[in-house]
Amino acid sequence: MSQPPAGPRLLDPARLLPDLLLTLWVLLVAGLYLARGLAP
Amino acid sequence: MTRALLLALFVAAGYALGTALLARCERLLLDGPLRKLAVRLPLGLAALAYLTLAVGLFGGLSTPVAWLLLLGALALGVAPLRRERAAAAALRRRTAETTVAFEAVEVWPQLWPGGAWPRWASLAVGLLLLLLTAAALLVAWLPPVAWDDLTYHLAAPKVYARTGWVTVLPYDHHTAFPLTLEMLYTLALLVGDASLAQGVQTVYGLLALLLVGLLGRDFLGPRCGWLAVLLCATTPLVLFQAGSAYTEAGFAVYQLLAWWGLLRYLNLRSEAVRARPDGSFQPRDRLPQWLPLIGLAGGLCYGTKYTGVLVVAVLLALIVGLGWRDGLPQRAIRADALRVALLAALVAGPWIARTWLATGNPVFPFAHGVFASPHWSADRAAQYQAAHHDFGRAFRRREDGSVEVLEPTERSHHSLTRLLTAAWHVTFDPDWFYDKGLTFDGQSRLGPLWLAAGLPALLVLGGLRRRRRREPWVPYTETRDETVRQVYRPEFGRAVEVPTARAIRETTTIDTARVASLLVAHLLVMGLLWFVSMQYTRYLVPHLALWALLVAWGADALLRLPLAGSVMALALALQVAGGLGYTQRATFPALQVALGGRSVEEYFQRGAPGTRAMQWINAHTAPTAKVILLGEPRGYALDRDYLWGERGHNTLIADHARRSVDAYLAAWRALGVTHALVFEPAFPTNRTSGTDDAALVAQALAAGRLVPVFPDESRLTTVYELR
Repeated sequence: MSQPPAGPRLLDPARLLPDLLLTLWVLLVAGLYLARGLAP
Repeated sequence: MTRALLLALFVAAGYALGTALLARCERLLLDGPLRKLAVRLPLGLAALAYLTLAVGLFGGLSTPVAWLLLLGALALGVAPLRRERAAAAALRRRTAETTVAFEAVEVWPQLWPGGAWPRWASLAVGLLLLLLTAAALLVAWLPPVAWDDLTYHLAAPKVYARTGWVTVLPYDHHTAFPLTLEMLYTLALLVGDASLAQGVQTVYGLLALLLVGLLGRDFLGPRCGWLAVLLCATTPLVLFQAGSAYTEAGFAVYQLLAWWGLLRYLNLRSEAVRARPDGSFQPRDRLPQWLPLIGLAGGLCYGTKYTGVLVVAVLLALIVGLGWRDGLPQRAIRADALRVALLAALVAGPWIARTWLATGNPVFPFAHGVFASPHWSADRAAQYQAAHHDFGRAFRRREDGSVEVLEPTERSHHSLTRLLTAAWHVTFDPDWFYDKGLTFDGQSRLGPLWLAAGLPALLVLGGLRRRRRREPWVPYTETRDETVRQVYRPEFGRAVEVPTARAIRETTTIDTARVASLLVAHLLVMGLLWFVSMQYTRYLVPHLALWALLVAWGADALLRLPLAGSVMALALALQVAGGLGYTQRATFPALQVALGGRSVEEYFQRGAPGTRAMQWINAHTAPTAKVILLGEPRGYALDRDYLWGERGHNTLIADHARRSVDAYLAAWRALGVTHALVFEPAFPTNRTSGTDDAALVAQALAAGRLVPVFPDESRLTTVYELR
């Protein structure tokens, strides 16, 4: 078993935008969840 | 210790019976011990449950019979297991004679390839699972305290074990439901106790995790398998059932099993899909040897819960729809779908027939408008449905603990806006979709990962499908490098040429895009049905097990990105921390018992306020006593005959008997009632005007017809004797 050869470039422009958007989304959900969980 | 041995006996008997049942299905290839366990054990346990039902329908259940069933199941598996061992040894001997270099390569097309799942991560998940299993077993080993267990999951099996008959109990509509898991609980109560029954459910929980892991590993990649297991095992909504005797884990196991059959049948691991020399594809072949598994497991979904019929409907729709889309001959599609439908109907049949014969309605108490039953009524059906529709209504808890409903209208929580924001609200307002009294410890929560990775999974799927349309992948390659060697065989008297495979390279490309698409189809259909029917998140648990694969796939994709990967790791950590935090809270009372801080008796009495009163009844009334329970349906602790008294539960007391207190108490006597147990907070007896149950009981109290014999002031439960 093996994965296909890896070769992601760190700053691939085709990936940068989705990467940024997805980062914001995950941060939003995780942050809000944490904030609500810690709220009294 | 005895309990652990008994649980091991259950597992061994289930596995043995499963092996015996599948011994003739030689084409059902199950590689490795884990896959064998994941298929044989649930099927074997189900067979054991059906045998218990068969005996119980004729009133033959008893402890010796239960032992006979368990040991008989174990004995049936001995011969096939020995044959299998001998065959494996023979194969090892044969392969040792030739030198073969075998390389199997599996490729899971991903939108962003790269990255590996480190070994330490598997070890960490493994350790976490061990910890959670220990917590579940700690709770399981103590007496039952969960609401539904004390109401019917264990209360009904206790009646079945005591009487030997598996009947539809006239006071409890739940006992008309399909009760496959409850049959195993009955068996457990006959050879052991309720803790053993809870242990059996924990085994089902572990089996569900195993199946999630294997499905993820085989169809989306090893990282997805681990991530999906991690996700399921750290979701409070799922965890809350660990150690109880609920049935969602069983439903999840059979649905996962049916889906395993489906994905194998659809040949998404591409074992027979070949590309033509010109690059086009043949119609995708199906692997029909997996059809029986789909039918059996689909039928067992119904055997666990009525809503299992939806699972079968989705499976059939996918078999027909994809067959049509892949251009399979109409006749073949029809034949395959028919095989699954017939087998599922055969497995579901005993439950349908039992409920129909006992109540006049095969899905009692649902669909009362279609199958009117004398044991139910139109107003009860309307009340039941209204209670179901109440879930999902937005509310806010005021400072004094009361609830302020925020919905503008009766149906506003079924609007399109609420449909589109359902995943958001389920994540951030989980209490709206749960029993209002049971949300204090956070058991209604899902955790952040479902939403954080679930939505991206849909986007990743869109990207992957678009890429596949652009550059279709060849799903299957196989290279065989065969050399010929000369050997001397005395029986031929000369040297003969024997082709020997020296190097085999096999590449299997898994159709991840289609696997994920099917999971999305399941999510949309089941999610929509849940939304329009009853927005109660506990009913999603069996489906969450499948959706976890999709969410894990999304999380896996995001973990491959440099920026999103880091925050996804944080969200994952938050999910795990939330799961562990919930486990710590939920297990704390059990831990107190284990450490000697409180007694088992105290723990049990904490479960239901009426427990002490019930124990008093067991000790101080004649064995022929019969108790009417008012305001407290959790009758598990009672060793006497009992019934639920309130009008909403059943039609045992006719409406005309409620016209006067004399007629009311005469109806009680006709039912054999000698005592009444009243839980005041839910059944206040401070009002004598009216003809409802509470008013009639209050009138009987005022007239001295009901005499208190056990007042439990602190817990507000009173036992009355009928004079």
